[in-house]
Formats: sequence, C-alpha cells, structure tokens
Amino acid sequence: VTAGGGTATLPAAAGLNADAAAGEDAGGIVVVIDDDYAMRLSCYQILSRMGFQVELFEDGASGLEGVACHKPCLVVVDLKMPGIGGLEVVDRIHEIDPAIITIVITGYATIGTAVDAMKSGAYDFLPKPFAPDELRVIVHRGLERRRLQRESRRHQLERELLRRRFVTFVSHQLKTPLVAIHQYLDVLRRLDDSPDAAAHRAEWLDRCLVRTAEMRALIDDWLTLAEAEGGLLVRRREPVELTRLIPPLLDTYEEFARRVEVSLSADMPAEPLMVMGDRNCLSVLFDNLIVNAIKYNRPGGTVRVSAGLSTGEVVVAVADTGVGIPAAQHHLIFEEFYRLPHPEHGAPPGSGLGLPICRRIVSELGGRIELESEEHVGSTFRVRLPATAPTAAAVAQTLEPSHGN
Amino acid sequence: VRRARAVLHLRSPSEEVAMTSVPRVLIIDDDEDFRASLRSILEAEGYVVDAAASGHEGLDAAARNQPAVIILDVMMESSTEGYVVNQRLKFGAEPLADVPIIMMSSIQESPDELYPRAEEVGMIRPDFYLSKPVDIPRFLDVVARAAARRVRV
Repeated sequence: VTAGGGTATLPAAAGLNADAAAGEDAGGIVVVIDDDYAMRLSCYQILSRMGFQVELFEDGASGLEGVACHKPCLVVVDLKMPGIGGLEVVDRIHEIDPAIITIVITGYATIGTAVDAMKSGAYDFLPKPFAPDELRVIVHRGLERRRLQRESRRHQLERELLRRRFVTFVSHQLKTPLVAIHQYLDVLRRLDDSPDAAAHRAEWLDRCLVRTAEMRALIDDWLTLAEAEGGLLVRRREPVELTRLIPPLLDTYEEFARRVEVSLSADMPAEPLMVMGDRNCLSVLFDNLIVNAIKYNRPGGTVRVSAGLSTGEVVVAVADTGVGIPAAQHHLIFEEFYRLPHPEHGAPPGSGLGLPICRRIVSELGGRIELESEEHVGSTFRVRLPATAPTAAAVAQTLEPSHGN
Repeated sequence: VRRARAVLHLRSPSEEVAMTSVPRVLIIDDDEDFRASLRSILEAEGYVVDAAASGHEGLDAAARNQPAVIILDVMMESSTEGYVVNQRLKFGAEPLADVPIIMMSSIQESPDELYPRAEEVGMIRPDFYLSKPVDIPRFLDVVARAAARRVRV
C-alpha cells in the first residue's frame, strides 16, 4: 500500500490538543487488522497523516504476529473477520501487552459483539462507516488513556519506593540505637565492682541516656508529620516577635556547640520583627535549622543567625561554615527520610524529617525557604515570612515572659 | 560454651600487642556505641580488638592489622555496605581472603532472605551470620569457632 504519505498536521479535531493526546506515543506504531482492503487503506491514510507509523494486516493470525513484533501503542481491529475473529484478537493482544489500546471497528449489525469486546478490554468501538475525524478523536482519546495509565503506574511505583524507603529507614533508625542500648545493658549487668568497671558503668549509662533521648526526638518528629498528614502543622495564628524568639533558642545549643567546637552568634535588629504564626512551630523551624548548622559543621566553625526586614518580608538567615551541600543534593535534602552524610563521620543522628518539617511550616505560614550552599564552605538557609505590623498589644505581649502556650 | 568473664576489665590495646598469639579481631560497624560494647566483651576474653567505622576504614584496617576474625555490620552508609566489603575481602588478596567474617545486622533478614539467588548473581555468602543485639555467650562461641577455623586454614 502506498497511499497517504506526508505528515499533514492534524486539524483541530473536536478541540483536542494533538500534542497532549499523543505524548510519548507521538510518531509511534499503530497496527490495523482488517480483511477489507478499502478499510485498511482509509485507516492508513488517516493514521499516517496523524504522524503514526502504520502497519496493515489482513487477518487475525498475521495481525497478532505483527502486534508481537511491532509492539504498537494502539491497534485498530475489525470485529468480523474470517479465521480468528476480532474478539479473540483483542484478548490475545492484551495477553501480549495489556497496555496496548485496542479499538474495534464494527458494522451496525455487530454492535452487541462490540460491547462484548469492550467488556473484555477493548478501549472503544467505531461503527462503520465512520468519518476520518471520528477515528482521529477516538485514537487521541485512547492514547490519552494510555498516557494516564502509564502515569498512574509511575506514581504507584514511586509510592512503593517511598514506602520501602520508609520501612528500611524506620527499622534502621530505630533498631540501631535500640541495639546499642540493649548491648550496653547486657554488658553493664556483667560488670564487677572494680573502679575501672565503675568508670565504664558511668560512661555507658550516659550513652544509653543519650541514645534514648535521640530515639525520643526521632519519634517526636515522625509523630509530628504523621499527625499533620493531610492536616496542618501550624495550628494557631498569633503575632510572634522573632528577635525575642530566636536568641533564647540559640542559647539552648551553647553547650552542644561548645562540645563540637562551633561558635554561635545572633545578629538581631533593634526594631521588632513581627510575623503571624504558631510560636511552637516557629521554634521547631529555627531549632531544626540551628541544630543542622551545628551538626554539619567543623571544629572551629561558626553558626550565625541574622534577621531583618526586606520589602514586607521578615528574613531570617541561618549561616554555617560547615561542610556544605553538593548542588546535586539541594532538592533532596527537603525530601522525607533523606539524610545528608557528613563527609567525615557519615550521617549524624537525626530523623530525616527536620528539613521536610521546616519546609512544611514555612509554606503553611505563607513563606518560603531558600538554600545557598557551597561544598566545603558552608550553607545558608534563608527563611522568608510575610511581615505583620507590630501592634502595641502584640509588642506588649511579646515583652511579657511567656508561660508555655 | 564460654561465658564472658565476670569482670569486663579493659586492657589497653597497646599492652595486648606485646603479647603474642592473641587472636586479633576487627570490628567494622558505623555505630560507635555498638563498637564500644562489642570491644569490651571481646577484650574481656583476651582478644586484641581493632575497630573501624565504615567499609572503607574497615578495608584499610584489615590490610593493616591482618586480623584473625572480622566482625562486619551489614547496614552502614548504604544498606548493603557490609555485603560489598565481604565481597571485596573474599575476592581480594590471599591472606585476607581466608579470614573468617562474621556478618551482623539488626534487620531480621538472613542473607538467604536478602539474596535468594546469591550464588546466581555471584554473591559470596558470609562465613557466619549473627543478628544484633548479640547473645554474649553465643557471640563469643562464634568468634572462637571463627578464630579456630582460621588457625586450621
């Protein structure tokens, strides 16, 4: 058959966007199986003008061989053919590849059978005679269905991957400290009363406490996100003054920072920086950023928290002189359960949820979080939140000592 | 079955090096605390213990110290780092390739479950496998058996 030819552009058939409908299948292979020569010819003309590579077969047996070897995205098959009928062809095509879209062509007399074909998985049917536009529309719709199926399969795989990552991560992150604690306890109960043993007892009990505290923090993080699943982390909207919130947070890490030889500093403006937010959530947010800046630092390094006002936004920057984040990982660190390894000592203890929680809080507060980082030089996390005009009452409130919530 | 001596008395490794014919054990595990408790158990039994915190460090330490037994954690930086180290050692140079390796993991999956077709894909099964945390008497028994096997080879 040498009919057709040329790649005429598709007329805006029934308002369908040709590109969107074709997608990955644009220019793909379409198989036509029909015993009627005239029908094969007109299908060829229509489909090849749509940009497909069209393969024609005159009976079910050769058609099925053609499907097996050409791996088409779509098959147009006549329902009434001598030999293997259209119904069986549809069945066998789906055995070869269930993702192939099948469209059956049928005379009015066989519409009942066409419905049977659809029940057994054909995408749609086209009664004879049909106009070129009718075939075009149905092919586009079929391929759109194929695209959606492929997409949903992809999402399913991603979800499965995420679930497996979660299981592995949780079991490892929880079991590792438990194993360490269990092993210490078993050794501790075998210690005698010598002074040497007493020294070890004190040290190992301390380590058990540290590991227990880490596990508790881990579980708290997971619960925080699990509770917020589908809901909101930020539960309250109250005016919060950041120049009064941040310095005390920083102070709580003095001891930890000193141990790892990192110095902390805060650079707060004299005027109040007011945002609408949840005091708890804002504390969690800056807490996480400060802890990361210390953990991913180096002896002799610094963590500097600065804040200011910029075109209606309160900007808080947490800058460290730490190990930095390779550009390829910038998008990953906000992913749940992703742990950035410290180049010198592997991944420091953590839930893998700190930054995902930060990102979530910031976006719920209508702000955004930016990262600037250079490997071996350091990272700056910049939080931008909409500023609120400080009312006298709010300022007074923040000046009063806070008694929890 | 031997038991850990009642006194988990720790001698410094340098004292031990002076003693000859004491089996040397290398622990490769990324958990500092788990390394510390295994070390105390083994040292109480008279083993000389070296420790490494990653697969890379472990391979270096193995080459440097020529241990009689290697204790190897499965899940370190990557979830199968231990298997990779096992593979590297077993396919490596002669004296180290013969060193018995005790693999350990807290994920309750035996190598058979992790690698149902281990042989087909060219994986080498670990010589010994223990789950974490270890039962101390059983652990010492396995280490002793591993060390003895080395002597025979």
